Amino acid sequence: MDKYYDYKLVQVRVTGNQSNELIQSIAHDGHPIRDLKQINNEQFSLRVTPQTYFEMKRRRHTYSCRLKLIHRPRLLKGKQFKQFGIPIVIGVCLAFILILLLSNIIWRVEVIGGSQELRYDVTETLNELGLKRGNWMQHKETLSDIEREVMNRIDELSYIGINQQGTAFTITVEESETFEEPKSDEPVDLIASKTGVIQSMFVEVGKPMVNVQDTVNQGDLLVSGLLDEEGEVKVHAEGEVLADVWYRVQVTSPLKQSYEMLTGDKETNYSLTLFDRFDIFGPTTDNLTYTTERPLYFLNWELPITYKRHDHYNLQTETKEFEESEQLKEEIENQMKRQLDSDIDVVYQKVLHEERDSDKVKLDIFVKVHEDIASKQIIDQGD
Amino acid sequence: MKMIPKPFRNWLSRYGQLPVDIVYDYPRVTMIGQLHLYIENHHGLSHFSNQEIIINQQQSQMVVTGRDLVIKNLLKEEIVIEGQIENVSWRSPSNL
Repeated sequence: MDKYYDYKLVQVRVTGNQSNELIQSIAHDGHPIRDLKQINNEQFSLRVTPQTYFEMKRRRHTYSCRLKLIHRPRLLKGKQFKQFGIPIVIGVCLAFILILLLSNIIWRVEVIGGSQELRYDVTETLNELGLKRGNWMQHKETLSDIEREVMNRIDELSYIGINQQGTAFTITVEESETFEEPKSDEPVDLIASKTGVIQSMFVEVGKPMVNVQDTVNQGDLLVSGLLDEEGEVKVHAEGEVLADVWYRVQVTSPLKQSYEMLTGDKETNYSLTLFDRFDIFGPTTDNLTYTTERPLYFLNWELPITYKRHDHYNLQTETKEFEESEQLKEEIENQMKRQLDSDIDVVYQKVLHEERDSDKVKLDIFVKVHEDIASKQIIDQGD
Repeated sequence: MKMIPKPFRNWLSRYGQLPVDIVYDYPRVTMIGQLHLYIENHHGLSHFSNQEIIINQQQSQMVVTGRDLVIKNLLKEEIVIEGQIENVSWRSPSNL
């Protein structure tokens, strides 16, 4: 306090016969004086506050003195700057850094609309994707990615809109109303969708028209929806007809296969880029590097500084050889399942033809499977 | 203190264990070697030069002589003098 007061003082030189009297009168009225010095017989130098200086100027005529202002207070410089300026500069810098940090933190995430459970689900998913209060803005996915991901994960969701206002996010969700399909009760027949030999039948509604061990062709009537001969009582036939169906499947399998596999190890490093051009921390570019870019924010503005994350994935090349018949069988089964429905039972299979090339094997297989062949057909009511 | 009659003041300072400078309204002068001179409770500056400073007191004057005398601080009730102080003396106004 005292030192700062010192810097506000002005240095005045008083010249004149009666300068002693002038100083005395000033001192008598209680004005503080500092560093009063005699330079020569009629000259004094002293330091006073600016107010005192003006008071002296008013009185100098009565004492016929001349006043000269030697040193007026200036902007803080040198040592004074060290004492008072540096803390201010440091404070301003800290404030800027603080604002910069706080501008890059998510402050509010609000989910509006939908039922309470849906809002809860959405909030959970958003948390997983990095959109949660207190997280860094750079650690969340992009908004469109988040919207897509949430839509994919939650089935009940029919709409999601993310609105960003600075560091606050408002998420509007809408719940899809699920309609239950009304059970149709229009009269139908069950007909065979494939040619086969019937193994078992289970008819819930309708009149069975075939027996077990019958061979049916595609399109044959299996269960009729007409209960009486005249065709007046019509029902919605329901039931299951399991039959043996034959297929001929062609399977081609390589004997040797090499593929690249991610080992699961990944290295991550971070960098900052200025104006999309100058990398502050040089990244090591690799062909299997996945880079995510996020801008830095200052209050509401996006800074030209980009925060980048580089994920390097380790690759491993592996070669698989199908030499043992077990593995070959497995591969063939997989391919067969891909060609037929995956949930059918394979009852019998026989290789009809096998052709081996240098690195490929081509098989022609006869397959017998158990399959439900009943399919619905609407009875034409003639109106 | 000024309201109290003089005989009582004497008694107060002697038996009341009160400081004399407060009881009598006298100045308190502190010297640090030849370098500094603090005067509290003064009654104004009467004369100032390089060699001699005269300070008004209640009924007398205090004369400080020396070389390169500088008044470091002059406030309403306090004076700080710096320099080579050689002599501090008191004189009554009649001597002037």
